[in-house]
Amino acid sequence: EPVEAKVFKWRFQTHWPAASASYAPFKKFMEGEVKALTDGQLVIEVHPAGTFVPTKDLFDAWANNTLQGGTGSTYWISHVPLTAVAGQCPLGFRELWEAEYFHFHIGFEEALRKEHLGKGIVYWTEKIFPTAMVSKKPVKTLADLKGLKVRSSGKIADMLKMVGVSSVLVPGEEIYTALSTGVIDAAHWGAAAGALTMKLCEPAKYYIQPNLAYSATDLVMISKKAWDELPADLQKIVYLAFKERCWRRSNEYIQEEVRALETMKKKFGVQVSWLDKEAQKALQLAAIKIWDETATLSPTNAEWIGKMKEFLKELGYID
Amino acid sequence: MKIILEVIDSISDWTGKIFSFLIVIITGVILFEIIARYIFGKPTTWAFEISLALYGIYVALLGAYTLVTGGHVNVDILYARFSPRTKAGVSLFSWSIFFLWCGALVWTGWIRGWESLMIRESESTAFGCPIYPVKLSLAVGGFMLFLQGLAGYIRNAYTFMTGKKID
Amino acid sequence: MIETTLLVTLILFGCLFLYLALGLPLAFVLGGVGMIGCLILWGPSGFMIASSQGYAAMGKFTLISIPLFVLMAMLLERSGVAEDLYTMMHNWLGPLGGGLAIGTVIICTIFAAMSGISGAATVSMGIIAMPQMLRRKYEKKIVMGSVSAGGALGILIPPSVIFILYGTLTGVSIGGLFMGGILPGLVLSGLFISYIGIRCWRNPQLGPPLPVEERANWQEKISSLKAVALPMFIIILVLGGIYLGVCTPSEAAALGVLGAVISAAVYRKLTWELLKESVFRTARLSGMIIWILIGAYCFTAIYQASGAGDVLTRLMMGIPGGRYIILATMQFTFFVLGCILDPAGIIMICTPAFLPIVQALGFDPLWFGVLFCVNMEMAYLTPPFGFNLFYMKAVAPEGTTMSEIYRSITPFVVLQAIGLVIVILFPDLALWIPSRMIK
Ligand code: NA
Ligand code: NA
Repeated sequence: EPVEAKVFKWRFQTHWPAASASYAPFKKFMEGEVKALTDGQLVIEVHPAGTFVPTKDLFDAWANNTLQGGTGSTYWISHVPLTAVAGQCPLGFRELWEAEYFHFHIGFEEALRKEHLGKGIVYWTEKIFPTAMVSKKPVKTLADLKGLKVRSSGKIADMLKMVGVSSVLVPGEEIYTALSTGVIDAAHWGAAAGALTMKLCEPAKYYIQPNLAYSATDLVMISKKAWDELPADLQKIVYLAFKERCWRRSNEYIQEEVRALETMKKKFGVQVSWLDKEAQKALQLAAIKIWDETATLSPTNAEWIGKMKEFLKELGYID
Repeated sequence: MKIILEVIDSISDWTGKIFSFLIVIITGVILFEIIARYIFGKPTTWAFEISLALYGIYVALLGAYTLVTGGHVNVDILYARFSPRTKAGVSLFSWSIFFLWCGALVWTGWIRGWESLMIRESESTAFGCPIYPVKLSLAVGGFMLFLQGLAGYIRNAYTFMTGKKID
Repeated sequence: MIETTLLVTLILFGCLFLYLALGLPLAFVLGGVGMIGCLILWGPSGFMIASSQGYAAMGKFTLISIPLFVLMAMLLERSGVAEDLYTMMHNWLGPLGGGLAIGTVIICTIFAAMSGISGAATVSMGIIAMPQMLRRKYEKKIVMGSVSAGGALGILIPPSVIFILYGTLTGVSIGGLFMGGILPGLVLSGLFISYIGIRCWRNPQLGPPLPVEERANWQEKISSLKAVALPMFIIILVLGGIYLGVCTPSEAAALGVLGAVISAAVYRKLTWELLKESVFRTARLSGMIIWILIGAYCFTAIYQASGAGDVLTRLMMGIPGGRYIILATMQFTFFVLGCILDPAGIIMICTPAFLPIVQALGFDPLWFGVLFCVNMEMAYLTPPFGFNLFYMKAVAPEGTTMSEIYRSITPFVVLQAIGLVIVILFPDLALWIPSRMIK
């Protein structure tokens, strides 16, 4: 009689709330597809943000195997400086395929995986997606950007400040109120889909283009301790399944963005407002300064910023 | 013994009193941000993060002060009817879960605070406010709370055994 | 699965009641029982939750307004501003029994528009209003009840962090929820006022009117009006700060402190002694509130981890009967959970389970969100874990027992339940203003 295969039970926590558009597909994949692919040997239970630990603490929870896995964003730059290249380089790629090429063909994802392994975590990219701003007034020129009060974060905030934007920090719970009352003029929370979930399009009727970033800042992470307990065949299945999902999910997400923008236009009367050439150029120069700062964080960072610039030159985006 | 207990009391009391003034600084920082943003149109990068970090430290270090001044409220419906000795005995039982929780808080808080200090952990924001002082303050504040709870526990044990207060 | 969850639920709630009854402070009951649950579910590897939830409470910017509003209240009380305000109210409302308690509910309603959370108002109004009413021989129960109930209005009248949480979890318009909360908030406030008025009219001992010989003439009344100036100045400062886009609701509390400092200076009471005493007492009260939250976050995290949400979904699916029976069952579930958990925790556990059902039954999710918040007004008051009960005990006069507080809030919980039924029967109370605002 064949030996009953051991069943592994894992607990995941995401950095998305249950209502986020990303949550349900992730839960479905982890609890359904992974179970099927492993013939029921890997049973994963997915919980939304804040269920066990606050999002900022997820890294520690994975490293200690309190939670076996989940999703995060590039919050842990102090732990893994290389994530700054993924998450803190605004205005790099303009299309999904470009970012995918950089991650999967030039080998950036593999480099990130190596860095995370050293911290007790196994790493995958969850999806690559755009970031864009919504605003209460149209923003077209450099003059419009000057003095604009934007709820921003990370290096996008630094970049915006270099062209005269006032970057304001407001807690997530109060962005909506702050936009409504006019404490801030604009904010970014993902791109169209994020703004729609957070209802930012109720007070802010302008969707500002081009995108501020196109980056891989949603990540899947698994505790290395949990990973090491899996037999090699299961590891192989999970590794490939997670990798394949990133392509699928990123692609799907772009379509969701298109639909979200349509909804914002039709239901909320949102208009798209494009920055002019001069404003785009100024932002691009600011962004390059930010990349160069990111390069100074570690030798590996410098190496990958170099590769990114080389690729962007090839694409004709920078000189 | 009595002297050790009194030293613990006065440590909780004095740290609480000193750090309670952080609220004045927090008020000042937030007002500065409001003025800078609304009147001068130049929001700061630091005010939000600094005020939040100070608030975190303020809260963490107040646990023991609140305890030593009898500020942590309870339900007294049954408890108030017990004799002093029964009260002490009941407390010896009920406070054991305080040590379970506070111990977990100090133990994990200390490990994580120390790791955070070692890598000089900071926010991934423009200002990059250091996170480790806040994390360490929870370990320190939790430890002080633990000590203050222990002092109370020793007092209760004495009362339970002798029927008298330590004096 | 259901069996394990129910068993864990029973153990956890049993422990909560046991340790609370044994007189352990609330903060430690919540944290300690959370750790017991943690040991059952995960073993020691879950201990990290204790520090994690500590960081969570230390890192929430919206909670900054708690110590700030408490400090504001301390300064107003110690500088004599509160005293003059209540003397003025007493002069004007002299012949009206319960007038000061009615005035207090009105101030609480205004306070609710100044803050997105509930705890700040209860503690602050407890500090400002309670000593004034007690000194004028108001009955303690009606004083404590009106402050506890009025203080809870903060999450129903906009701005409200609970509405924002509900909106982001369900996709319902946050602006719509804000607008939807206004009339139900005023209905509750009106119910409290009517209740106080009727009770004190029938039994003047509860809120004694000013004796005829002490009643002020018009000249005195007019001159006492200047006592309103400073409180009005603070209200305008804070409300103006929020609604003119000067600052966020959390930041606005700092304007409240500024206003209180200016007021104390106008009264020539701004001394080192006053500042020091206010700061110390603020620390003690804030320490109490936030450490309760640290414990509560810990407990809620563990309870969520036990799979309570899934069990609720399955239980709700199985309810027989019409849509209003299901709605009533949901409201009852909120009420029961409200006795034990805080509103944010209940939203996290229940919305994923309830909302699809609510929508399938054809109910308006905005209306449901408002009903939830009206229901949560009760959660702040219902024993054993109504936060306002504990906040009240911390600011009540020496020697006040918990059973007195329980008795003081009972009629107000009944009024809140009546308010809930009114909003269920007349959905337009929640939906009319939003329907005007959103085309
Ligand atoms: Na409010
Ligand atoms: Na309650």
